[in-house]
Amino acid sequence: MPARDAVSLPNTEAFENIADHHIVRNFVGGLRMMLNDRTTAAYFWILVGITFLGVVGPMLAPYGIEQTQYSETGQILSAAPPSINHPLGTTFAGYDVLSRLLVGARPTVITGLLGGGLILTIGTSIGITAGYVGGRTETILMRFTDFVYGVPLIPFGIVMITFLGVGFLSSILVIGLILWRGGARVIRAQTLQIKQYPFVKVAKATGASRRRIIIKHILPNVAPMAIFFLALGVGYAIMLQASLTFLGVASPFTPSWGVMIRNAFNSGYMSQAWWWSLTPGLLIGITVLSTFMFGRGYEDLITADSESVEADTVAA
Amino acid sequence: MADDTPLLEIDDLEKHFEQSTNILDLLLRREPSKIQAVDGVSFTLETNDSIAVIGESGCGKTTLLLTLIGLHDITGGDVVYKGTPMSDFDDADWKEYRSNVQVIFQDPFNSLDPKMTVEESLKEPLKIHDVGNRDERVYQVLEDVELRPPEQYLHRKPMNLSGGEKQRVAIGRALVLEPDIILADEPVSMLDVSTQASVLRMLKDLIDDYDASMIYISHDLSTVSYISETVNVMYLGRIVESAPTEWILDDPKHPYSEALVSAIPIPDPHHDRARTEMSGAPRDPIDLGEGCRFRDRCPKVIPPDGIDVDQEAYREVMAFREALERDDLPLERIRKELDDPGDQEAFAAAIRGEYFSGEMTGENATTVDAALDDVADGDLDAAADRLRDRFESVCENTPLSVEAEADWHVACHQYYDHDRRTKEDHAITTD
Amino acid sequence: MSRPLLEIEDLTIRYETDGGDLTAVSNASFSVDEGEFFGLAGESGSGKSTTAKAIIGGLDDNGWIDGGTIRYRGEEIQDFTDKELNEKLRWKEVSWIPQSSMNSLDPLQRVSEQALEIGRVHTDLSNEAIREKLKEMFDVVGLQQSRIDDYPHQFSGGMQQRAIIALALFLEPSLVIADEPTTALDVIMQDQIFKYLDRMKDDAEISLLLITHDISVIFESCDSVAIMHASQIAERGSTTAVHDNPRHPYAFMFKEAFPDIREPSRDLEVIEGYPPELIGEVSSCSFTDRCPWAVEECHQSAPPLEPVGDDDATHAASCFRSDEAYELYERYGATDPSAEVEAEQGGN
Repeated sequence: MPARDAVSLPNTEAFENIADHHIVRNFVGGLRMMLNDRTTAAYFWILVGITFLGVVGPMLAPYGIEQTQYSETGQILSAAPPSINHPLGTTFAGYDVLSRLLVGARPTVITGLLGGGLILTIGTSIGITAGYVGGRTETILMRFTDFVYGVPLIPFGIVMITFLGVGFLSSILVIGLILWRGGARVIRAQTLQIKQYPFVKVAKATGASRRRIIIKHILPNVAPMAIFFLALGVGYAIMLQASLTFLGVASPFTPSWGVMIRNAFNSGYMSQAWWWSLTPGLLIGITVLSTFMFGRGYEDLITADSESVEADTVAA
Repeated sequence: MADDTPLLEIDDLEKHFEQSTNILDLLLRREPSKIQAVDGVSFTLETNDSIAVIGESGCGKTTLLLTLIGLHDITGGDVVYKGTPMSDFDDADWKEYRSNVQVIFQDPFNSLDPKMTVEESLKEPLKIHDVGNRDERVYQVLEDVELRPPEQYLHRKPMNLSGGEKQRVAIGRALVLEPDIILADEPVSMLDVSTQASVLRMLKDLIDDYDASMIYISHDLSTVSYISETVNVMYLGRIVESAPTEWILDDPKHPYSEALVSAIPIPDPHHDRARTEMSGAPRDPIDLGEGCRFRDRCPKVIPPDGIDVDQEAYREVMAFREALERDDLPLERIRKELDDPGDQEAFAAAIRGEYFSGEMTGENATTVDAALDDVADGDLDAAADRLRDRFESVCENTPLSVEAEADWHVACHQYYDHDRRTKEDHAITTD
Repeated sequence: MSRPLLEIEDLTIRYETDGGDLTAVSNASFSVDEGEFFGLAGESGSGKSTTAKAIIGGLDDNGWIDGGTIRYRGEEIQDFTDKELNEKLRWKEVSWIPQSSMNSLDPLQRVSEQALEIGRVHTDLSNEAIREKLKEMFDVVGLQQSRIDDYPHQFSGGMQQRAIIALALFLEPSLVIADEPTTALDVIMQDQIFKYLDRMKDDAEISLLLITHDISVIFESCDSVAIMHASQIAERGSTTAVHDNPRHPYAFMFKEAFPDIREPSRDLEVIEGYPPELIGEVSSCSFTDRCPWAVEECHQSAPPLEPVGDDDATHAASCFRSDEAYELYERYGATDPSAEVEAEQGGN
C-alpha cells in the first residue's frame, strides 16, 4: 500500500505543498529566530558577504589575474608591497593580489557549497535511512560509516585525486566522499529518537507510507541538526580543499585562496611578501570561522528550543 | 457482513518479544527467553462500546495497544476486525483498518509534530486516505473539540498550545477520518486536573457523536468510570478480571483488582483507608509458567488441601520457592556474611533468617528445615522438589482461563474451586 | 503552643525572564509544625515547587526571593549561603525527595557510597555508623538491608524511589520536603511509599512538606494543606477544615475536580481557562479570570490571606467573597446566575 500511496495524484500535489511551505516555512522561521541573536546574525551576514563576493568578485577585480603589473618605470612589480594602485600588493609574478583575491572568492564559495552540499546529502541520506529502516540495512550502513571513519583524510585524498585526476571538482568530490561520516552518525541517532515519538507512531497507525513519514516528519525534525552539519561541512570543505591545494594535489590553475597561499609558499617569498598569503589565509579563516559559529548559533537555538519544550513537559 | 459480527474481536492475543541475544547465547545455543508482554488476552468490542483496560506500568497494556494498531506483529492469537482476522489482511484491508482505527497517545507534548501547524496535523490523515473536503472537515473537527474559533488555531504550532489544547488537537486528529474505533492510551493523565474532566467528558461525548467505539487504556481506575462501562483489569500480560466498571470499583473479586482498588486515595480526611498489604512490584514477564501470575504477591494464595498453614507463613514459603526455582537466592552474599563461611548449619539458619519469620510448626516446619539443609548443601533441585511436593498450590500449576459468569469474569481459583467455595457463594449482585 | 518548625511569611519569589520579572510566589504564608504532614497543592504553574525549592536554597539561577522570610526553628534562613545551608540544614535537618528518582541517583555509584558521601559532608558519623543507619532505613522502606550496596540500575522504578526516600531519611532529618514523590508511580507503589512515610511519622516524628497536584493524597495523608493558584495561596488550614468548609472558589472547585471512587458517577468540576503568567507586582486575585464569582474588587487588589471560620485557628483564605462563595457554589453550582447580578452591583 505504501507504493500506491506514493504514486497517487493527491500525493504528488502534497509533495509540491511540502516544497511550498512545509520545509521552506520551517527554514525561514528558524533563520529568522537565529538572526535575533546578534552574534549569529553577524556571522550570517559575513557569510552572505562572502557568497556575494563569490558571485560578483570577478567582476569587481580591477585587473586580470594573470595580468603582469608594471611600475611607472616599466619594471615588473614583483612582490611589491601594498600601494595605492595595488592595495594588497602584488605577487612574485607581478599579479595584483586584490584581483586574485576577488576572483578566488568564487572557487572558494563553490567548494564550500558543493562540498557542504555533498556532505549534507550523503550524511543525511545514510543517517535517516539507517535510523528509520533499521535492521540489517542499519547494520550495513553504520559499519560502512565506521569504516569511513577509519580512513585517514589527507592520504586518502591524495590517493583518490591521483586516481580521479588532479582537478578542482575532483578534490571537492573527494572531500564530500569522506566528510559525511560525522553527520551520518548524529543524524541516525536523531532519527532513532524521533522515530520513537508518538506523533510518528500515530502517523504510522493512520497508514502513512514510509516515504511520507520520512519527508513530512523525520526530515523537518532532523533539519536543524542537518543544517548544523551543513555549516560545519562548508567550513571543513573549504579548509580541506585549501590543505589539499597546498599539498599540491588540487588543481593549481583554479585561482582559489588556497592556491594563492601555495603559490606564495612555493615562490620562496612567503616571508618577505607577507601580503601575498596573509589576506587569503585570513579570508579562509574568517569564512571557516563564520560557518562554524553560524552552525553553533543554530545548534544553541535548537537546544534552547527543545529545552523549553521539555520544561513545559515537566511543569505539566 | 452479518449483523451479529462484532466490531473488533481480540482472540487469545499474544505478543511475545525475544530478549536480545548476544554472541555467547548464540554460541551456547541458548533458547532466547521470551518476554510475555501480552499473553492470551481476549475480549470483544461491540459497536458503540467503550471498554477500558486498566493495569500498572509493565502489565502489557501499551503493548496491547500497539499490537492492536498494527505497530507490533502478532505472535499468537488474532485480532478480528468486522469478521476479517488481521492475519489475513491484504493491503486493502490494512488501508481500511488504518483509516477506521485511530489512536490517541498519553503524552500531549510529543504526540503532535512540533514542526507542523494544527491544520497540517489535522489534514495529514485526510491526505493519506485521499479524503476530499479537507478544509471543511478540519474546521468542523476543531469546532467539535471545542477549539473555537477554529481560525485562531489553524496556523498555530504545538509550541503555542497548552497541554489541554494539544490533547484536543490529538483527539481531533483521531476523529477527523470518522473512524469506527478509537484507541486511547491514558489521554488525560498528563493534563492538569482542572482540564482533565473537560477533556474526558468531551472525548466521551465525541465518541458517541461520531458513532465510534473505544478501547481506553489507563493505569487510573478512578477516572475510568467517566469513560467506560466495562473494565478489564490486566496483570502481567493477562486479564485477571472483567466486569462493569461500577461493580469492580464497588466489590472487586480478584485479589489483584482488590489491591488496586483499595490503593486508590480517597479525597476525604475523614475516611480512614487502610494502606495496601502488598509489597514489592510485579516481576518481569519472563518464564511466567502456567498458573496465576499474581501468585507470588497474592495475599490469598491457596495452600494445597490437607495442609494446615497460616496464610502469612504460606506466602513466605511461596516467595522462597519462587526465588529458589528461578535460581535467584543470594546464596553467595549470605555465605560471605557468615562469621564462619564453612558452617553449614549457620548458613541454613541465615537463609531462613532472610526469608522466614518463623511462624511454622509441625510437618511444615520439618519440610522447610530439610529444604534449607538441601540448599545449604548446594542441592537446589532437591530442595525445590521437596518444597513443591508439600506446598505446591493450585494457583501455580493449574492454568486458568478467564471464566465467565454473566458479565463478570474473574481469573482466580478462589471463585472456581468447588472444594473450597461454590460459585453460588459469589453470585453476582448488582445494586 | 511551641514554635512551628518551619514558618514562611509573606514570601515572594520572582524569576527573571525575557518578558519581565515573573512572579512565581506572591506573599505566601504558612507554617509547618513539628511532626506535622503538610500538603502544598496546586496545578502546574501555581508556584508550589518554587516555594519548596526556595526553602532549601534550590531556586534556578534566574530566580530570587524578593521579599518575606523563611524561618527554620525560628532562625531566618532565606539569605543563607550555600555553605551555610550545607552546614546547618541540608540532609540532617531538612532533606529533599525529588520527583524523578531516575535522575537523582548517581548511576555510577552504589547507593551506600552515595549515602557515605552525604554523611561525610553533613555529619561527623563514622562510615560504619552511616552504613548502619542506611540499613535501618532500607528496612523501614521495605528494601532488603543487604541491597544498600547495589547500584541504582539494579532497582526497579518503585524501588529506586524508595532508595531515595531512604537516603532522604537516614540522617533523621526533622523536615522532609517531597516534590511529587509518587507522581510517576502506580497507585499500589504510591500506597506502599506512604505506608513507610506514615511509619516514619509515628516512629521518628518527622515533619513532611508534601508538594503535589493530587489533593486526594493530601486529604488522606496530611494534617494541614495549603492550596496555591498562580503564585498566591488561595486557602490553607487543617485538611478537615479545608475539606469540610472550603472558602476560596479555587479550593473547592479544585477539590471537586478530583474523582472519588466512592462516587463514580459524580460530575467532575472543570475550571475554565489557565493560570495567568504574572509579570511584576501582583495586584489582583490571580484566580479572577477563572472565577465565576469574581467581582470588580477582585481585579483591583489582591485579597489578603485572612482567617476564616472558627473551626481551626490556621484556617485562612484569600478571597473577598469567602463568606458566601461556597454557599453560592453549593446552591447554584459553578455557573451562578446571582453572581452576575451581584457582580454588577459590586461594580456600581
